[in-house]
Amino acid sequence: VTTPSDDTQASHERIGPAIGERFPDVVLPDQYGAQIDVHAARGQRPALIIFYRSARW
Amino acid sequence: VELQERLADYAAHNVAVFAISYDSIDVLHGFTEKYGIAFPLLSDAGSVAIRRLGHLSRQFAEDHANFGAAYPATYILDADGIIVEKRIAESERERETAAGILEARFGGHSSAHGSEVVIPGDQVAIRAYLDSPTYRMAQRLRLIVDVSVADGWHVYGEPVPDGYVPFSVTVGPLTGLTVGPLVAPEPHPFSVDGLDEQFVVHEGLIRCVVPLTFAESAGDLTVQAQIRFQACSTSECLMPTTLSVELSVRMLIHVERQS
Repeated sequence: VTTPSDDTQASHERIGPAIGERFPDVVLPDQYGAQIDVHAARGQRPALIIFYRSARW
Repeated sequence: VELQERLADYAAHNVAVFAISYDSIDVLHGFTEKYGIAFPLLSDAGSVAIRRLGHLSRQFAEDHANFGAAYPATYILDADGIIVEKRIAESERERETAAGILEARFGGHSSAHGSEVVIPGDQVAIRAYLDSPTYRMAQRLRLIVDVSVADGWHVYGEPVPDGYVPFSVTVGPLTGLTVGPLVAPEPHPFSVDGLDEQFVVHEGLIRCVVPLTFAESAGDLTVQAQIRFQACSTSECLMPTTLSVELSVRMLIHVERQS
Protein backbone atom coordinates (compact mmCIF):
# COMPACT_ATOMS: atom_id res chain seq x y z
CA VAL A 1 0.00 0.00 0.00
CA THR A 2 1.38 3.39 -0.95
CA THR A 3 0.09 6.76 0.01
CA PRO A 4 -0.97 9.15 -2.74
CA SER A 5 1.94 11.47 -1.99
CA ASP A 6 4.49 8.67 -2.45
CA ASP A 7 2.82 7.32 -5.47
CA THR A 8 1.56 10.32 -7.31
CA GLN A 9 4.55 11.85 -9.02
CA ALA A 10 6.42 8.73 -9.97
CA SER A 11 3.40 6.82 -11.17
CA HIS A 12 2.06 9.72 -13.17
CA GLU A 13 5.21 9.67 -15.25
CA ARG A 14 4.52 6.07 -16.14
CA ILE A 15 0.84 6.24 -16.95
CA GLY A 16 -0.09 6.65 -20.57
CA PRO A 17 1.56 8.47 -23.46
CA ALA A 18 3.57 11.62 -22.74
CA ILE A 19 3.03 15.27 -23.56
CA GLY A 20 4.67 16.07 -26.88
CA GLU A 21 4.00 12.65 -28.37
CA ARG A 22 1.38 12.00 -30.99
CA PHE A 23 -1.53 10.28 -29.32
CA PRO A 24 -1.34 6.59 -30.32
CA ASP A 25 -3.73 5.28 -32.95
CA VAL A 26 -6.81 3.90 -31.26
CA VAL A 27 -9.67 2.17 -33.05
CA LEU A 28 -12.51 1.01 -30.81
CA PRO A 29 -16.24 0.49 -31.13
CA ASP A 30 -18.48 3.24 -29.82
CA GLN A 31 -21.73 2.78 -27.91
CA TYR A 32 -23.54 1.93 -31.15
CA GLY A 33 -20.99 -0.64 -32.26
CA ALA A 34 -19.44 1.54 -34.98
CA GLN A 35 -15.66 1.28 -35.25
CA ILE A 36 -14.18 4.68 -34.41
CA ASP A 37 -10.64 5.63 -35.39
CA VAL A 38 -9.92 8.49 -33.01
CA HIS A 39 -7.57 10.42 -35.28
CA ALA A 40 -9.75 9.94 -38.36
CA ALA A 41 -12.89 10.92 -36.45
CA ARG A 42 -11.45 14.12 -35.08
CA GLY A 43 -10.21 15.19 -38.52
CA GLN A 44 -8.25 18.40 -38.10
CA ARG A 45 -9.91 19.29 -34.83
CA PRO A 46 -8.18 19.36 -31.47
CA ALA A 47 -9.53 16.69 -29.17
CA LEU A 48 -10.23 15.87 -25.57
CA ILE A 49 -9.68 12.20 -24.77
CA ILE A 50 -10.88 10.98 -21.41
CA PHE A 51 -9.99 7.72 -19.77
CA TYR A 52 -12.43 6.91 -17.03
CA ARG A 53 -12.97 3.93 -14.86
CA SER A 54 -16.44 2.79 -15.78
CA ALA A 55 -19.93 3.88 -16.68
CA ARG A 56 -21.20 1.22 -14.28
CA TRP A 57 -19.40 2.05 -11.01
CA VAL B 1 -22.75 13.44 -17.32
CA GLU B 2 -21.04 16.60 -16.23
CA LEU B 3 -19.10 16.40 -19.46
CA GLN B 4 -22.27 15.97 -21.46
CA GLU B 5 -23.56 19.21 -20.03
CA ARG B 6 -20.46 20.95 -21.32
CA LEU B 7 -20.60 19.47 -24.75
CA ALA B 8 -22.07 22.55 -26.36
CA ASP B 9 -19.01 24.39 -25.10
CA TYR B 10 -16.70 21.90 -26.74
CA ALA B 11 -18.63 22.02 -29.97
CA ALA B 12 -18.44 25.80 -29.89
CA HIS B 13 -14.69 25.46 -29.54
CA ASN B 14 -14.59 22.85 -32.29
CA VAL B 15 -13.08 20.24 -30.00
CA ALA B 16 -13.74 16.55 -30.61
CA VAL B 17 -14.48 14.53 -27.47
CA PHE B 18 -13.88 10.82 -26.89
CA ALA B 19 -14.23 8.85 -23.69
CA ILE B 20 -12.60 5.46 -23.26
CA SER B 21 -13.44 2.79 -20.68
CA TYR B 22 -13.37 -0.98 -20.42
CA ASP B 23 -17.17 -1.17 -20.41
CA SER B 24 -19.00 -3.28 -22.97
CA ILE B 25 -20.86 -1.71 -25.86
CA ASP B 26 -24.13 -2.71 -24.17
CA VAL B 27 -23.23 -0.93 -20.96
CA LEU B 28 -22.19 2.20 -22.86
CA HIS B 29 -25.32 2.09 -24.97
CA GLY B 30 -27.48 1.89 -21.86
CA PHE B 31 -25.55 4.75 -20.27
CA THR B 32 -26.01 6.83 -23.42
CA GLU B 33 -29.75 6.23 -23.48
CA LYS B 34 -30.08 7.08 -19.82
CA TYR B 35 -28.08 10.29 -19.87
CA GLY B 36 -28.40 11.45 -23.48
CA ILE B 37 -24.69 11.26 -24.20
CA ALA B 38 -23.90 12.86 -27.56
CA PHE B 39 -20.24 12.01 -28.02
CA PRO B 40 -18.43 8.71 -28.65
CA LEU B 41 -18.04 6.43 -25.66
CA LEU B 42 -15.44 3.96 -26.84
CA SER B 43 -15.62 0.42 -25.58
CA ASP B 44 -12.33 -1.29 -24.79
CA ALA B 45 -13.85 -4.47 -23.41
CA GLY B 46 -10.84 -6.69 -22.73
CA SER B 47 -8.74 -3.60 -22.02
CA VAL B 48 -6.45 -4.19 -25.01
CA ALA B 49 -5.99 -0.52 -25.90
CA ILE B 50 -5.92 0.45 -22.22
CA ARG B 51 -2.99 -1.93 -21.70
CA ARG B 52 -1.22 -0.93 -24.90
CA LEU B 53 -1.34 2.73 -23.88
CA GLY B 54 -0.03 1.94 -20.40
CA HIS B 55 -3.32 2.93 -18.85
CA LEU B 56 -4.32 -0.16 -16.91
CA SER B 57 -5.18 0.65 -13.33
CA ARG B 58 -3.07 -1.28 -10.86
CA GLN B 59 -5.61 -0.73 -8.15
CA PHE B 60 -7.36 -4.02 -8.81
CA ALA B 61 -5.91 -7.51 -8.75
CA GLU B 62 -6.54 -9.75 -11.74
CA ASP B 63 -9.24 -11.69 -9.94
CA HIS B 64 -11.04 -8.51 -8.87
CA ALA B 65 -14.32 -7.69 -10.62
CA ASN B 66 -13.02 -4.24 -11.54
CA PHE B 67 -9.75 -5.49 -13.05
CA GLY B 68 -9.22 -4.00 -16.49
CA ALA B 69 -10.41 -0.50 -15.63
CA ALA B 70 -8.37 2.40 -16.93
CA TYR B 71 -6.44 4.77 -14.71
CA PRO B 72 -8.44 8.01 -15.05
CA ALA B 73 -6.79 10.70 -17.13
CA THR B 74 -7.57 13.36 -19.66
CA TYR B 75 -5.54 14.29 -22.71
CA ILE B 76 -5.76 17.36 -24.87
CA LEU B 77 -4.60 16.89 -28.44
CA ASP B 78 -3.82 19.70 -30.81
CA ALA B 79 -5.02 19.73 -34.43
CA ASP B 80 -2.07 17.49 -35.40
CA GLY B 81 -2.91 14.90 -32.76
CA ILE B 82 0.02 15.84 -30.53
CA ILE B 83 -0.61 15.63 -26.79
CA VAL B 84 -0.37 19.18 -25.49
CA GLU B 85 -1.82 18.57 -22.07
CA LYS B 86 -2.21 15.54 -19.87
CA ARG B 87 -4.03 15.35 -16.60
CA ILE B 88 -3.74 12.30 -14.44
CA ALA B 89 -6.12 12.10 -11.52
CA GLU B 90 -4.27 12.55 -8.23
CA SER B 91 -6.03 9.52 -6.89
CA GLU B 92 -8.07 6.96 -8.71
CA ARG B 93 -11.11 8.07 -6.82
CA GLU B 94 -10.86 11.60 -8.09
CA ARG B 95 -12.90 12.45 -11.12
CA GLU B 96 -11.31 15.19 -13.10
CA THR B 97 -13.81 17.88 -13.92
CA ALA B 98 -13.98 18.25 -17.64
CA ALA B 99 -15.23 21.78 -17.18
CA GLY B 100 -12.03 22.75 -15.42
CA ILE B 101 -9.94 21.38 -18.24
CA LEU B 102 -12.00 23.04 -20.89
CA GLU B 103 -11.92 26.32 -19.08
CA ALA B 104 -8.21 26.16 -18.51
CA ARG B 105 -7.37 25.22 -22.05
CA PHE B 106 -9.99 26.71 -24.27
CA GLY B 107 -11.62 29.38 -22.17
CA GLY B 108 -14.98 27.69 -22.04
CA HIS B 109 -18.00 29.57 -20.87
CA SER B 110 -20.49 28.83 -18.18
CA SER B 111 -23.71 30.75 -17.88
CA ALA B 112 -23.83 30.42 -14.10
CA HIS B 113 -21.20 32.98 -13.24
CA GLY B 114 -20.89 36.67 -13.89
CA SER B 115 -18.93 38.93 -16.19
CA GLU B 116 -15.96 37.25 -17.82
CA VAL B 117 -12.89 38.28 -19.78
CA VAL B 118 -10.61 35.91 -21.68
CA ILE B 119 -7.20 37.07 -22.86
CA PRO B 120 -5.54 34.47 -25.06
CA GLY B 121 -1.78 34.27 -25.26
CA ASP B 122 0.93 31.92 -26.52
CA GLN B 123 2.78 31.74 -23.21
CA VAL B 124 0.21 32.99 -20.71
CA ALA B 125 -3.54 32.96 -21.18
CA ILE B 126 -5.89 34.61 -18.73
CA ARG B 127 -9.50 34.00 -17.89
CA ALA B 128 -11.05 36.23 -15.25
CA TYR B 129 -14.61 36.18 -14.05
CA LEU B 130 -16.84 37.09 -11.16
CA ASP B 131 -18.73 34.25 -9.55
CA SER B 132 -22.00 36.16 -9.68
CA PRO B 133 -23.50 38.59 -12.18
CA THR B 134 -25.04 40.64 -9.37
CA TYR B 135 -24.31 41.85 -5.86
CA ARG B 136 -26.26 43.05 -2.88
CA MET B 137 -25.02 45.34 -0.15
CA ALA B 138 -22.62 43.51 2.18
CA GLN B 139 -22.49 40.51 -0.12
CA ARG B 140 -19.24 38.75 -0.80
CA LEU B 141 -18.37 37.83 -4.37
CA ARG B 142 -15.29 36.15 -5.66
CA LEU B 143 -13.08 37.25 -8.50
CA ILE B 144 -11.51 34.19 -10.10
CA VAL B 145 -8.45 34.63 -12.27
CA ASP B 146 -7.27 31.50 -14.05
CA VAL B 147 -3.82 31.95 -15.46
CA SER B 148 -2.74 29.21 -17.83
CA VAL B 149 1.02 29.07 -18.37
CA ALA B 150 2.16 27.11 -21.42
CA ASP B 151 4.31 24.01 -21.00
CA GLY B 152 7.98 24.89 -20.65
CA TRP B 153 7.19 28.37 -19.35
CA HIS B 154 6.84 29.80 -15.86
CA VAL B 155 6.05 33.02 -14.07
CA TYR B 156 7.80 34.14 -10.90
CA GLY B 157 6.52 34.00 -7.37
CA GLU B 158 7.83 36.09 -4.51
CA PRO B 159 10.51 36.69 -3.47
CA VAL B 160 12.11 37.45 -6.83
CA PRO B 161 15.76 38.23 -7.54
CA ASP B 162 16.52 41.78 -8.67
CA GLY B 163 15.40 42.51 -12.16
CA TYR B 164 12.50 40.06 -12.28
CA VAL B 165 8.83 40.81 -11.85
CA PRO B 166 6.68 38.56 -9.65
CA PHE B 167 3.24 37.37 -10.62
CA SER B 168 0.51 39.45 -8.99
CA VAL B 169 -3.18 40.13 -9.17
CA THR B 170 -4.41 43.48 -7.88
CA VAL B 171 -7.92 44.86 -7.81
CA GLY B 172 -8.41 48.55 -8.45
CA PRO B 173 -9.91 50.65 -5.63
CA LEU B 174 -13.62 51.22 -5.79
CA THR B 175 -15.83 53.09 -3.36
CA GLY B 176 -17.38 50.67 -0.91
CA LEU B 177 -15.40 47.72 -2.18
CA THR B 178 -13.30 45.74 0.29
CA VAL B 179 -10.76 43.49 -1.37
CA GLY B 180 -9.85 40.39 0.63
CA PRO B 181 -6.55 38.56 0.57
CA LEU B 182 -5.61 36.81 -2.64
CA VAL B 183 -5.69 33.03 -2.47
CA ALA B 184 -3.29 31.47 -4.96
CA PRO B 185 -1.17 28.33 -5.17
CA GLU B 186 2.22 28.37 -3.48
CA PRO B 187 5.03 28.85 -5.98
CA HIS B 188 7.66 26.12 -6.02
CA PRO B 189 11.47 26.34 -6.10
CA PHE B 190 13.10 26.42 -9.50
CA SER B 191 16.66 26.77 -10.69
CA VAL B 192 18.23 27.22 -14.07
CA ASP B 193 21.50 25.51 -14.94
CA GLY B 194 24.30 28.02 -15.04
CA LEU B 195 22.50 30.66 -12.99
CA ASP B 196 23.17 31.17 -9.31
CA GLU B 197 19.84 32.81 -8.66
CA GLN B 198 17.17 30.90 -6.81
CA PHE B 199 13.62 31.33 -8.00
CA VAL B 200 10.20 30.30 -6.96
CA VAL B 201 7.81 29.93 -9.86
CA HIS B 202 4.32 29.04 -10.93
CA GLU B 203 3.73 26.67 -13.82
CA GLY B 204 0.66 25.19 -15.46
CA LEU B 205 -2.68 26.47 -14.25
CA ILE B 206 -2.69 29.13 -11.54
CA ARG B 207 -6.11 29.68 -10.05
CA CYS B 208 -6.32 32.91 -8.04
CA VAL B 209 -9.34 33.80 -5.98
CA VAL B 210 -9.93 37.28 -4.58
CA PRO B 211 -12.86 37.86 -2.20
CA LEU B 212 -14.70 41.08 -2.89
CA THR B 213 -17.16 42.56 -0.44
CA PHE B 214 -19.45 45.39 -1.47
CA ALA B 215 -20.16 47.38 1.67
CA GLU B 216 -22.40 49.92 0.01
CA SER B 217 -25.09 49.82 -2.57
CA ALA B 218 -23.09 51.72 -5.12
CA GLY B 219 -25.10 50.90 -8.20
CA ASP B 220 -23.83 48.91 -11.13
CA LEU B 221 -20.06 48.70 -10.95
CA THR B 222 -17.05 47.79 -13.01
CA VAL B 223 -14.37 45.90 -11.12
CA GLN B 224 -10.95 46.39 -12.58
CA ALA B 225 -8.10 43.99 -11.96
CA GLN B 226 -4.53 43.94 -13.15
CA ILE B 227 -2.53 40.79 -13.67
CA ARG B 228 1.19 41.37 -13.80
CA PHE B 229 3.78 38.75 -14.63
CA GLN B 230 6.95 37.98 -16.44
CA ALA B 231 6.96 34.78 -18.44
CA CYS B 232 10.21 32.90 -18.94
CA SER B 233 11.35 29.55 -20.23
CA THR B 234 14.75 28.09 -19.43
CA SER B 235 16.16 29.80 -22.50
CA GLU B 236 14.31 33.09 -22.83
CA CYS B 237 12.50 35.70 -20.81
CA LEU B 238 9.76 37.92 -22.13
CA MET B 239 9.28 41.52 -21.02
CA PRO B 240 7.11 41.98 -17.94
CA THR B 241 3.48 42.34 -18.89
CA THR B 242 0.47 43.88 -17.23
CA LEU B 243 -2.95 42.79 -18.42
CA SER B 244 -6.07 44.61 -17.31
CA VAL B 245 -9.52 43.15 -17.10
CA GLU B 246 -12.78 44.94 -16.46
CA LEU B 247 -15.72 42.99 -15.12
CA SER B 248 -19.14 44.46 -14.64
CA VAL B 249 -21.49 43.57 -11.83
CA ARG B 250 -25.07 44.70 -11.38
CA MET B 251 -26.48 45.81 -8.08
CA LEU B 252 -29.61 44.22 -6.71
CA ILE B 253 -31.63 46.27 -4.28
CA HIS B 254 -31.41 44.85 -0.82
CA VAL B 255 -35.04 43.98 -0.41
CA GLU B 256 -36.69 42.82 -3.56
CA ARG B 257 -40.14 44.25 -3.94
CA GLN B 258 -43.05 42.51 -5.50
CA SER B 259 -44.27 44.47 -8.46
